[in-house]
Amino acid sequence: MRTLTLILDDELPIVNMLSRVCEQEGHQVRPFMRASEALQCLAEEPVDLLITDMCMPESDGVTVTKEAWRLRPDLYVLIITGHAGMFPVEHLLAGGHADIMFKPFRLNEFRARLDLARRRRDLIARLTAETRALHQISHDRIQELQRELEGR
Amino acid sequence: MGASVVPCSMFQVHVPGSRSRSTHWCVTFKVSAQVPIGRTHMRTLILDDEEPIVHMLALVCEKQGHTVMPFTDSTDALIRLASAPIDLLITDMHMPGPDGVAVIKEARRLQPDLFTLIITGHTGSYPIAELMADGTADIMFKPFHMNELRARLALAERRRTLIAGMNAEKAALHAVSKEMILGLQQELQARKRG
Repeated sequence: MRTLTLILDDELPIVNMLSRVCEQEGHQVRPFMRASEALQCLAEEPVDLLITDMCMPESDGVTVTKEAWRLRPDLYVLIITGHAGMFPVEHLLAGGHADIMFKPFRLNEFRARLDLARRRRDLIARLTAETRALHQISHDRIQELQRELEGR
Repeated sequence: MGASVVPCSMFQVHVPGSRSRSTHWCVTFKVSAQVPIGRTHMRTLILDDEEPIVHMLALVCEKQGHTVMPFTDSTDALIRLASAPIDLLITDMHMPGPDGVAVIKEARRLQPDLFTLIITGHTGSYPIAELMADGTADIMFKPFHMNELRARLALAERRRTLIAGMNAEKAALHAVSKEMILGLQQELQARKRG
């Protein structure tokens, strides 16, 4: 299944460049320049990855990320920033579902971070699936034993 | 009392009364997406052939609360890696002797779930994608800013806590399920005998 990626930046050339690379990497892209529209999309579509700029006129990346995590606590976020000291970036990293990329960046770094995002999401998905499967197997066995106990 | 098993993330088992007692287990598991922010005691091995870089990396890691093992020689670092486990490996790629690729491969052979932070230039032709493993690696391109280093250390700590939490949940679920199944099997055998 293709990764559904939401891109948010107030500069059109940046949005276009990020979108182009994501599409080349096989993502399905939803590009936005307004935070409110991006959040609307997040509420409506099963977005896998959010790529957001930090410094935007309408809203900042901290607010967008916090709101995105309120809607989708397991969403993986790639934060792009040029002003690390100005934003409480550390607080955005609390969940572990995030990465950060500092401006100016090169395309090979962006590609590496997209690759990392996929690997990290796959790891979390695998661990979640393993726990779920273990729960199901245990649950089935317990039910089976209980039926036996009740039948006697 | 009837028997009931509630699916989802909670087991609730009521064994019908036998020998004047009933058995009841109720266990809940939940992995929090929010890992508390705070300093952790990471055992961090730093490897770079340039001493000033090692010194600077070590200083920042120590300020973040890490226990640091600094190395400028990759053969010495490999000997240390083989002696005891570490939590985080920060390594340069281009070094005399075994390079970053060789060090990471050997470190992963010794500790498959080791977190690594790869430091590299943009011009290198190293197989970075191969070294990214299953998401336990991170990469930092030269030249880098102190803010970036601090952010990447914080990220490594969070990810390590998150993955450790998920593995612990799985292990706990396995242990409790095993105990419950064993309890029910013993109950069943006791009734067969009685």
